[in-house]
Amino acid sequence: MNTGITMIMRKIMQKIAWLSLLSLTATTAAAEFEPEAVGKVETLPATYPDHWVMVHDFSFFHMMEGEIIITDPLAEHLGSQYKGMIPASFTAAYARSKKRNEHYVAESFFARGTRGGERTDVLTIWDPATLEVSGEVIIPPKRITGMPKTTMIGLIGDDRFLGVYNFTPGQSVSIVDLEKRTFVGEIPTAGCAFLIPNGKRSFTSICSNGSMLTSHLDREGKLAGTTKTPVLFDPDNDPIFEAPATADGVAYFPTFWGNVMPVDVSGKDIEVQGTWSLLGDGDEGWRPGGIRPAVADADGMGYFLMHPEGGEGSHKNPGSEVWVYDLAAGKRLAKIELENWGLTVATSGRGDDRLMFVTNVDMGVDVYRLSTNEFVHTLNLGGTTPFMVHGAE
Amino acid sequence: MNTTDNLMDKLVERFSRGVARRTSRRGLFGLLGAGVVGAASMPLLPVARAAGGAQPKAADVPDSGDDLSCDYWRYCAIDGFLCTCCGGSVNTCPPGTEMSPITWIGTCTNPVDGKNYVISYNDCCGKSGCGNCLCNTNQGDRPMYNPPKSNDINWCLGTESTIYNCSTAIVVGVAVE
Repeated sequence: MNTGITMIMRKIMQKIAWLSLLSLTATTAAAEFEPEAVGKVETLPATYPDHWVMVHDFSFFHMMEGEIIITDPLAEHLGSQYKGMIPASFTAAYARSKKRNEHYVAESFFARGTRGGERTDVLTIWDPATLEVSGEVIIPPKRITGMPKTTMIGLIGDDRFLGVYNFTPGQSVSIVDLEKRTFVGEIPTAGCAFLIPNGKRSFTSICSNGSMLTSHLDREGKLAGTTKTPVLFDPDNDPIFEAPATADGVAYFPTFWGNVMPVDVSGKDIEVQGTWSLLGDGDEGWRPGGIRPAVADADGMGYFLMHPEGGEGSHKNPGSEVWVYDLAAGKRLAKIELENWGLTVATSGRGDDRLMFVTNVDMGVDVYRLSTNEFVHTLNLGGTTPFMVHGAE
Repeated sequence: MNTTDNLMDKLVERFSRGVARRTSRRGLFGLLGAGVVGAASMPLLPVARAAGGAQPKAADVPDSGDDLSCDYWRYCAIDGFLCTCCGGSVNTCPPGTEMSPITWIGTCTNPVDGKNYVISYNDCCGKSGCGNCLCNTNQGDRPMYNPPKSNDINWCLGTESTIYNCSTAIVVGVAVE
């Protein structure tokens, strides 16, 4: 009996000893444990790598919820591709100044959201490192809404001013002073649309009759004068697309039927150069097309999204190939057969690190390495309609 | 048409995922070829008033086809979400929206009587996009610097709100040859 009690007591004591040891160990671990900090927020580098791009998800089915996604296109997985985002409300227009190191979004807000109410148009200025709003300028609630064109917004005068194209259907351009962050005024462009910056402090608009109107700004961003060209192209039978591929001070406008109209935009007054064709022998029926059919890269090469069996009404068809040109020489360098048919072409990077981007018909963004013209992979960033990719421009 | 169909046949297999699922076959180009916010293609007349002119009574116009399909004859030049899929009809807006007074127009051949009718593709505005039955053809469409001929423009203009909801296809007259 005594022996039995002794055994029981011994076991109890052993358990107490173990529990004490465990408790001591836990206390020691708790003392060494450092909880993760709450409230930390990521930042991006103040200067992005050249190959990064800004993917504009237009959110076509939910237009108030557009976004600009800052993207590392060479990263292997979504987690490292998707660096951050900037909201872009209601068919917004996007621009970036490398000189000022800022993102700009011209967007519209409605006082009652999806059911309307008073409309306010804003140029929102975003810090590239923190992706926080660093400023905003209220502009007239007149900016054009509709499918995106790069010529709906433009940096003028060595990035001192920014213009936003208006359509009510009255036509004008709102000028913002980026240095003072103020709205300067509205410049009428009756009969003419968009803005292609040119010269020291001017911008050019495309007119419905096939001519072009150049508006010259003074040092304060106000209208100092205008110049209008004679008719330069046939707006009905072979119209130019709304946005050119621009390289070395020349804007190369593709036309519906596959011609290219180069316009020298380096000076105060624009100058049209000789038209040339994208098509060569055996290229009959091929046409440029898509949402954004032309772009230049940082080295001055031009990329045109091409589709076969083209004709009247095919100018928004997706393309199966991208044709590469030495723009200054008007000479084709390559034909890139696309992995997927595409609607938008863009580029980023420099030299051997140049990349090409094609928004495909499944609404992924295909990445190609231009040193070899090889397909790398498809970016699926979570957006629904990435109509535009902004890189080298 | 055969050429376009051949091209479509080649492409349609690729257009099977994501947002493409939401559209009809012909409507794919509405999103993938243009994704247009607004009215119509193939404009033969400039900006018009919806209520302007003598509109034929609906009963006067012989009809056939499915007005929920992009192939319906009145939609030969439409571009946008069909109001017939959004609570409206071919010539009325969904409840609580507002019809845009300005737009651009096309001409479509009625398969029943073989006549060409002038169609006004007025947008319905004031509520966010319906998202159903996206249709688009670009025959006769021209760039946005030529507004009366451009379907890339949001034509919710002259309305209390510029928010686009869907597009109608109203017969406003018989085309004069």
